Amino acid sequence: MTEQHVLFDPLLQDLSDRSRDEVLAAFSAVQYAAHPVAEVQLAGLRDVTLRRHVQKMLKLIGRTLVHVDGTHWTAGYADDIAAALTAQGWQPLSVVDRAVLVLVLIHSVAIPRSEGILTGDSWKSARPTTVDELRTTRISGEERRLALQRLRAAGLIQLSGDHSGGPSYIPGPQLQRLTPAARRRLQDQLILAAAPASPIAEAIRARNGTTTADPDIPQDSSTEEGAAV
Amino acid sequence: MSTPSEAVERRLYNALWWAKVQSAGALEVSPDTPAVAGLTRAASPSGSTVWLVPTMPSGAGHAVLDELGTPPVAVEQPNETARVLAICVACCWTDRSGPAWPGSTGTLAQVRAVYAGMRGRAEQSSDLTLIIGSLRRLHATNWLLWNEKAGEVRLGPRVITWTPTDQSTLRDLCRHLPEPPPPVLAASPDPEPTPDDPLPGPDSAATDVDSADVDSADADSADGRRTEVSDD
Repeated sequence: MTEQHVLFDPLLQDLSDRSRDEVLAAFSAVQYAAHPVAEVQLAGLRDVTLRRHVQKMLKLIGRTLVHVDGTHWTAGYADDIAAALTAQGWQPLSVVDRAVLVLVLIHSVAIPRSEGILTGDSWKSARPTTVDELRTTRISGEERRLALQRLRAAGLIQLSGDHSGGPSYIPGPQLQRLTPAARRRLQDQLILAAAPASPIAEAIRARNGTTTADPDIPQDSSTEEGAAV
Repeated sequence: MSTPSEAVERRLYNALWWAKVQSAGALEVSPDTPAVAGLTRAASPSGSTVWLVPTMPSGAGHAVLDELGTPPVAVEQPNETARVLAICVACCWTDRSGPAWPGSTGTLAQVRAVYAGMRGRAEQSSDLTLIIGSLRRLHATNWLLWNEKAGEVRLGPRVITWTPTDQSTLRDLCRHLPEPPPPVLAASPDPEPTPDDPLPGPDSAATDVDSADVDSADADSADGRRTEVSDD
């Protein structure tokens, strides 16, 4: 589209042509690249002033820059926007898709993390979740296959390289778009779901100001994080 | 002039709508919905709703990813998907003197016929699996409105982002494709796919093709991509 852009032009009009190009390139890279992009690759990310413009552009559309590993950048939903949409009940993923996503996150991240195999708060993992681990009486094989297809298309899961026991899955690149606060909420909700009676679950409830364990809350909230990437 | 609090409210309103279209794709809303800065409105074929479609300033978009060598989220079966989109453009953009949106309704029979003609051979049983998988992917990403139960397809609201240059390229492309046979539509056509069911569910899948085949083809797409016919 070559015509004026009513949303972004007020931000971009005072920039030189070169700066504008660099800001737009960085904005596009963090928005559209499947994986975080290296800061050194783009002037719009290296230069603090230009990066501030990228951040302002993202803010206009409910997004924010997310720093990954100290050297890369991507974009995710701003925490206040994710919270407002969650409060409105906004949920683009079906309940089956969310359930399958949560199963992958439990097997690929939460369990290895609890065993000390994975450290840090990233939702990236090389530990594959097998189709057997995704089997549950609550979801038919057909529903599961369609959910896996949709989740892969959305970049929320991906095929692992390990095909020895049939197809298996790991978290997709979109999980890296979670902000630090979103990563923590997702971790908290998985703990509340997996071990609601544990002391750590009690501490999470105390911190959030909720006193009773509600089995519905963890399921809904944890999967909403999956959608908000 | 708006007051500062109105401006803040306006910014929040825009940001929330943008977050919605980014998380769920183009949205079909009531025509009463106030305008959102940067989201283009496309009246649906029936005129009773409008689609909100995000648009970017020139210079922003996927092109930069090629320069950086960083791919976007991969499309499964990219060649087949692109091929089926091209076929649907040929079937649904019948008056090419005007814009592609909203176009007209095409049928699965047309798509299958053009697909076989494009490959220069009679239809094979595996074609339908590839075509249905591609139609579903293109429906999920709003490039097409695919009504699986009726076996009918329309162009999706994202085609309104095609520039005059894009449309000119696509006109040329259509001229090179086999001519679609005339569409044979259902007696009481339902031009609107169910809006609250944007992705095909297991029931609709079961009525048409062996969806297990579609999925197994999909699950093998890493291999499928390697073995894809590379004539495009």
